Amino acid sequence: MGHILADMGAEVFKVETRNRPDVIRILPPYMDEDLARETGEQPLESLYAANTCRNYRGITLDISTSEGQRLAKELVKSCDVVIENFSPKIMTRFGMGYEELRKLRPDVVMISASAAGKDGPQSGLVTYGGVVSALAGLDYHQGYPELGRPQAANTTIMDPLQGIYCAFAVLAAIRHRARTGEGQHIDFAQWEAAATLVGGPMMEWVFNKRNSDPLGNRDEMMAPHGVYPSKGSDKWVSIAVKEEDEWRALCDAMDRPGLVDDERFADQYLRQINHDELDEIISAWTKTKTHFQVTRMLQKVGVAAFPSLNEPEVFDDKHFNAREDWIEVEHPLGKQKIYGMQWKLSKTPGQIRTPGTMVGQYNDFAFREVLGMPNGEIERLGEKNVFY
Amino acid sequence: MTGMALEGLNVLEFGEFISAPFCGKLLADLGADVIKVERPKVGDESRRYGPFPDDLPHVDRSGLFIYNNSNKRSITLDPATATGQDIFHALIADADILIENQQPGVMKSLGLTYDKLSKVNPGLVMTSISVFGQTGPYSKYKGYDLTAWNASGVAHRYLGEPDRAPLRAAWYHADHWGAICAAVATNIAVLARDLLGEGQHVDLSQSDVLACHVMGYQLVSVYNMNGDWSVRTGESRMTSFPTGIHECKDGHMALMLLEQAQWRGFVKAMGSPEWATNPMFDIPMWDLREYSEEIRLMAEPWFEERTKAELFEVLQANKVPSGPVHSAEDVMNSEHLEERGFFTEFDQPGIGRVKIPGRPFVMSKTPWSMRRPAPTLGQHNVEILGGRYGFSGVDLTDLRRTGII
Repeated sequence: MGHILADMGAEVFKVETRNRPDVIRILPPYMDEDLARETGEQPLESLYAANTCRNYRGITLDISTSEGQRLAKELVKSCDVVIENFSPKIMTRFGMGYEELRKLRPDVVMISASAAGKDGPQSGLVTYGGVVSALAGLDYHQGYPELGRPQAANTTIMDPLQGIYCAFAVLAAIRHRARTGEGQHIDFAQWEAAATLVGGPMMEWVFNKRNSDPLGNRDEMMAPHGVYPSKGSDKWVSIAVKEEDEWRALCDAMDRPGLVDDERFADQYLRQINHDELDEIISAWTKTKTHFQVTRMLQKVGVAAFPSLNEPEVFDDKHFNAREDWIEVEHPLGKQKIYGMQWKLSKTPGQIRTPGTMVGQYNDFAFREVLGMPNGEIERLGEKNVFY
Repeated sequence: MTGMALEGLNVLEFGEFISAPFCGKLLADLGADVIKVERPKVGDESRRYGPFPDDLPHVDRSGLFIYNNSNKRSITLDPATATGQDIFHALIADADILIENQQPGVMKSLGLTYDKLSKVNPGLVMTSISVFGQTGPYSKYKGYDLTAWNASGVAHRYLGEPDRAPLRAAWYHADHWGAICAAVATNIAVLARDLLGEGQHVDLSQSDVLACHVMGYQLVSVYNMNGDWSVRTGESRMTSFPTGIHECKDGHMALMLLEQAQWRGFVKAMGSPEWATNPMFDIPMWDLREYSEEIRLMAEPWFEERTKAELFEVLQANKVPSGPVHSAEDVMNSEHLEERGFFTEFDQPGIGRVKIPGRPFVMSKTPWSMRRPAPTLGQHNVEILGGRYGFSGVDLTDLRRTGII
């Protein structure tokens, strides 16, 4: 959420404390592993942080202390937006709930993101993104139909999307404030946000009291539609056929014009019914070509096909590099390649102004410059570990 | 102060299925005035998808359409005709935002490029949602949710059994990523308009956003640093069993353990069986991966013997991040979501009282609301083409007869 606003020019303070580092800071691998080994401390400059903390101003403040809270509140006075994702009630306990912050800055926009919301019978839910997507009804639809069970992903795919969804909420609130001068509090429950993303299956229950089965790589309408094995080890190509002329073009490309008249596949309805047989025929063909060969042949005749790219193929790909999805930045701990601007705005494209902030890197900026604290006070508080 | 966050924004939506319509829905639900431009006679293709009440297909009773198109108005229009083009330009002149998700080449062949439309309305923010974007070697490739998902690399790296095809996530997930990202980027461009005094073109590529946010994140740096890379590993995630989805008595449970303390909580939840209290397991979760198989063999029966409700209770009581794999039925029947006021109830013409998922988040001063249900096909032709642009009843009949609307 934060870096999306920062990428577009917002000044974003990331408030951290070494006493309870953000989990993304401690997921390996790290850029400061060697340094940390020498001092025996926990490395905090993970590659995750190098990517997601770009354009941020990292400052350290222990806001569980009264001094930390006082300084945080001072900073809020010059901030338009406050972002927090603690368990509900923590900010209030710290004296920094919305009602408190509003007194300091009446038009502040505050967003509180949590798993299940600030109230309700299960508001204290202990989760991560991967569990939230199961609660919200998404994982139910994720699985190979032939295996008959939901398939877990190897990462929390929804997590970044939650952050983006939060950014949407914040931007809407900022617009309202720009027009009316009024701030507000956004209560963002990941469970609820995710549950808005399964419209079809929800309506199947609403209308017909049925739970739709997972589609796997198939489609409710398009046929053929799937991910097929191609030449080489663990190489696959996705193909989606929508219109009848695309079906004919596919048959021609496979050198099987006779298939068009095959009564098993004569229209979309029949192709859906006989999808398994059709898949076998298509696989037999795709196995003889590389995934890019299949893609070029089919795209040439207007059929949507594209490889299932593996990691090296994605990062070395000429298209993604041409679109500057991967860019090199100069980080204090060394050159790094990170992801760039995820959407391309023609006039205000945004940029990586500064690399992933290190922990507490901008303390001087925040406390000396922005708050104008005298050296004596900074030293005194430093000794009390307020800036740890 | 009352009112809605995005009121006063005029949006033209020229797209189908999910990525453009769900984006339009996000804006409409927060107060934007969204006009859907649909194909004459057939409309948005999601009108054909259903599900339909009692499985009886009807162009105005498709569940997917009704869900994705709340709070919008509908006109029918064929901009490939000369008159249709004029009407489209008139609509653009009055719009702040245009959202489209046409296949590559279509907007150009219709003469509806950003270059041309920005001359009609320099303040226009035009958001184009596509699988590969407006530029780059693949920008002419036709694409759908499936190809976007696979192009991003997320499928191959993160989802599926290693000896099977990479798998799709959730439900048309790549399309939803496109929609939400487009809504954010559009809002940014509208904000920027105050500074610039003019609009701009938002190029939203579904494969870009997925690749950047799910493959970027960390993997791009690791690959760049030492050439390391990996593929989907089926059930196991970055940490050990019990992270993953497990069969239980009446369904499945999803767990995710990242911290050592959570493993200890899991051991307690199981009633501290002797095998689990072995200190060799009390190590960081990503190191515990080494013992994942042993742990799975011992702990799987514990899951299988218990119901979702039992497991949910005891795991949460021991602070283990966990939850049942909910079906649509489970979500719609959730007491917690009900008490939170998550659902919205309204009358859908031709169907009756309907209750569906509502606001994605709660805004304290400008709450989400269902002001009008999803429109019937061309429901607002008279109101907009007649009322706003002065076409008479006779005109509208002629326009319909000649296939313009």
